[in-house]
Amino acid sequence: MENKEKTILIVEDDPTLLEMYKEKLRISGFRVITAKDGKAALQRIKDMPNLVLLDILMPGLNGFELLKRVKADPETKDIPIVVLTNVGSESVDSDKQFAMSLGANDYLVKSLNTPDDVVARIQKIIA
Amino acid sequence: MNRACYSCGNSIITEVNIGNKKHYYCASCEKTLERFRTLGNEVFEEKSGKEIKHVTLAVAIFNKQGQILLVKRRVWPYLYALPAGHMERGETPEDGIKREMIEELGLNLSGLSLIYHKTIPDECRYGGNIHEWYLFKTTINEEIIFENSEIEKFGWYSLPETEKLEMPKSVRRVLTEAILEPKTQTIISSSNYVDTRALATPFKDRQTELLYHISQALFSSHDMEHILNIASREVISAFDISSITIHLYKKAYQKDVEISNAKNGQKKSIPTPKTISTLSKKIVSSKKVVTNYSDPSLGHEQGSIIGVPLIAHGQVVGILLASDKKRRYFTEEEVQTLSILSTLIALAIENSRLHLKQEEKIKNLSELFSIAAGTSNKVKNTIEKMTDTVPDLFNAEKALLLLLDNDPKTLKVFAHSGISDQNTILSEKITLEKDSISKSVFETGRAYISNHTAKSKKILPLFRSKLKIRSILSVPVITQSHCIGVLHLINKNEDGFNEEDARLAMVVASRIGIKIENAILQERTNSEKELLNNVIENTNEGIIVVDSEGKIRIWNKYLQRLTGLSCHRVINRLDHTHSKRKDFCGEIAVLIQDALRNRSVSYLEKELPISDGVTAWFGITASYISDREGNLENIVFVLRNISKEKELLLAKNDLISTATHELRTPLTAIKGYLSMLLSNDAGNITPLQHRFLDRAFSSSERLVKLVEDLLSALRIDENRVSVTPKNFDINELIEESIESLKSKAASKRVAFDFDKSKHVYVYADREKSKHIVDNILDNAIKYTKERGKVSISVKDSGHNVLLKIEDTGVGIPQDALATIFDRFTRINNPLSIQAGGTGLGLYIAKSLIERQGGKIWAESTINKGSTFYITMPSPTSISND
Repeated sequence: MENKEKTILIVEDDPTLLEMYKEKLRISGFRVITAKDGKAALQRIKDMPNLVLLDILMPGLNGFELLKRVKADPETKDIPIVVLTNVGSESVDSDKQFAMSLGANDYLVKSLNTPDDVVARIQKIIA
Repeated sequence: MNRACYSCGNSIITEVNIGNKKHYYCASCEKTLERFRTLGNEVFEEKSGKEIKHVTLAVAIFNKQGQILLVKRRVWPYLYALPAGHMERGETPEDGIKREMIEELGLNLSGLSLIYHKTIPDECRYGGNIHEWYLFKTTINEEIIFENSEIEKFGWYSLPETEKLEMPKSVRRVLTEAILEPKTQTIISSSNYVDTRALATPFKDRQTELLYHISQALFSSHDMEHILNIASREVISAFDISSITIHLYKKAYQKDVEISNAKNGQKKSIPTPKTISTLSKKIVSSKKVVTNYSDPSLGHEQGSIIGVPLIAHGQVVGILLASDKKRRYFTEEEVQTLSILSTLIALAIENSRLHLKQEEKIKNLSELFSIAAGTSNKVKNTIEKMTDTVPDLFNAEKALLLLLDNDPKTLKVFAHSGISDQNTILSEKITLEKDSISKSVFETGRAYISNHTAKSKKILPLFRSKLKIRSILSVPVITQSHCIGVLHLINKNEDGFNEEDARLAMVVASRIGIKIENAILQERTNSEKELLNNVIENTNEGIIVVDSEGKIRIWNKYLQRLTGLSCHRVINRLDHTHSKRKDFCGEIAVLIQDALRNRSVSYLEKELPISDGVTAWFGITASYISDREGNLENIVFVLRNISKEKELLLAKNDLISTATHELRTPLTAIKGYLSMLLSNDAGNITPLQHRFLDRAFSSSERLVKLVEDLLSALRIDENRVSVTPKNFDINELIEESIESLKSKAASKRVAFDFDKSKHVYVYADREKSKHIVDNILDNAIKYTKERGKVSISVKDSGHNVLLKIEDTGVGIPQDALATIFDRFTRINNPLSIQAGGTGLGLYIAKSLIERQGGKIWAESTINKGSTFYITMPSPTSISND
């Protein structure tokens, strides 16, 4: 699989969804590391994954804050980040634009995209 | 021209020439005159002068032995050669003269003894005179002091030679001795023979000058009494008469006016009332001058009276009586002059009367009109005041003002004057259905006069009995062009009402009408103003009105309470505030400036500070008020506290966010796992498993879509959805859409008919348009039966592009066609229920299309199919691909 040796960091507070994405990505051949909240994410990102799937609504540090910090840190600023959230809308440009302005590479609404869609998007970015 | 005897007044006369003059005497007097003449006496011409008394002190000479008095006495009339009254009193001539000296000269002499007495006939132009000479001797040694102030100095009176000659020689001797006495003090004779008047010229020539002089005096003033006084004084001096009486009749002047003036000391010569009335009758009936001579029955002591009628406008308005104590005859010229004078006097009096009347009228009118113009807003009060002045203005007894009584057929008494408050006429209502004066005046709009009301049939018995009408003048009270009532003037004090009165009354009534109308309008305006003011002040929103320069005209109570500032304090603050202050007024100032500059500001929501640290959200609506030419007059700001709404909104947004998030999460899991199963991620699945899973998956997708639609619909309401139009190929988009729906269509065996060969560009938001097209095509498939067809065509008209999507489906009922674009409308149709959907799709589609400047509508036939039309704008010259 082309996806071998690519590590994806999934930042997601809902356990069911986290499991789901973890499994899908594994099946797709990616190595997966996870974080349940912002604080944990900051720790895990030091592992330098190839891409981060970032949820927004999380306890403690929210996704946007995390995004800012990651992009501000010279070490981690180049890691591509895909915002994967159930807040906001893909058609309300302001939500998407906001995320993009903070440095995200893409913006997906979880419920509108199947796991396959997500994998396809990841491959687009890091292939 | 009547000639009368100079002496006795008899009318049968003969002409006598004496010297160069003609004189007239009757036959018997002429005989007497002749007798005297033959006595060898000369006839003297009197030195005419001021009125002299009967007794004249000719000379008073003092000597050691006493005094010698030479007294000259003029006797009137001529015939009575003795001092008047002697015979009656049974006096001797000596006693008589003594008495007269005492009475008239104020002399009180004792030891007076008569030395010599002579009677000499004299003549003056005014009639016969006799002079008597008395020479007395007194034994008084002291100087005589005459009490009569007229006799101021005494001296040797230079007797004319002729007179001297008349005295007998013996007397002359005595006189001479006395005069030559060294110690004789000469006393100049009485000043009764004072200066001669310059009547050298004949009276006739003086007439013009006299008339001019008097008329100047007469017309110098409007004051009647003043005029009469002048007139009488002038006449007295002009004619040298004792007194004048001017008597004006009440009829003409509303009251009797009588002015009497007499020469000094001649009060007795003023005619008695009896004389006046007798003469008046004669004069009034004949309208001619009546001259009279001492008719004892008149009670005037042997004097003369001339009575002249004062005629104005052909009517005798009074008489002028000139009387003279001495008997005399008024010459033709004098009578003529007096006649002319009387005309002048009558005119002057008439002038004065009219002037007075005019002034009264003007005063009354201006009083009336000043009430009308006054600021009193109490309608009734004002009108009552106006009505009160009306009788005086017209010299009438009563006035009655009737006005419409809330009912076009009845008049009610509104105001009155000169009528007792107890009079029951005041509570009467006059119906306009029965014939009456009020009715005809009201309907014709013309005045009505009746000065003989007994004959008039039009007067209601009601009026007649309660008001005792003799004469009546009625005029309509008119406003604009409506008649609102009638003004009655009752019982003119003089003859009756005339046209002039009617004209004036019309004017007065119209003023009353105007005043009523104005008052009503004013009250109406006021109550409307009050209402408006109440609304502005008490409404639960802030109202600010500024003029075209930004000055505050209204700052209502709501704002006063909110900010604690009243209107003028705000004005001050705003003047000094520009955008510097961060308080409420500062923000308002900015708002006003913006609105003035940028006329399109209509609604905005702003968070404003209302006190320290406290803010509130306000929804501010600005309305621009312009005049007819489009120039800005005022801007009205309405401020509504929308804090609650904002709170609700925030709460709602919160809820939406939370709800969507909460809904989406499990949906994601359901959809996600199902899709993974379908992708064989958990191992290969059987076709049956695939089928089941697929259905589950579809349902989950539906749920997801529902949530999205819900969110969209809610967000569209908030205008949060942004539209970014650009140029793109609509055919390409349609092709994409068809492609994505292929499997769905295939499962129902619905075919697409679309010519994708051309490129047609539109200017719209691609993403949104994709959603819309997806939606409609999805509907088309949904509502089309098995083996149906969906045809799509695109037409470019230059300005817009028209998209037509036609299906062969179930159709939409006519009455529902209008509502399909409304929120949550679902057609009650078995197939549509089966088809599913949120009911939001078309609502969202319409909102989005309209936001892009397009239109969407539908046509349909039941069981045949539906056609949806969409227009989109063609690319503009500004393309941003």
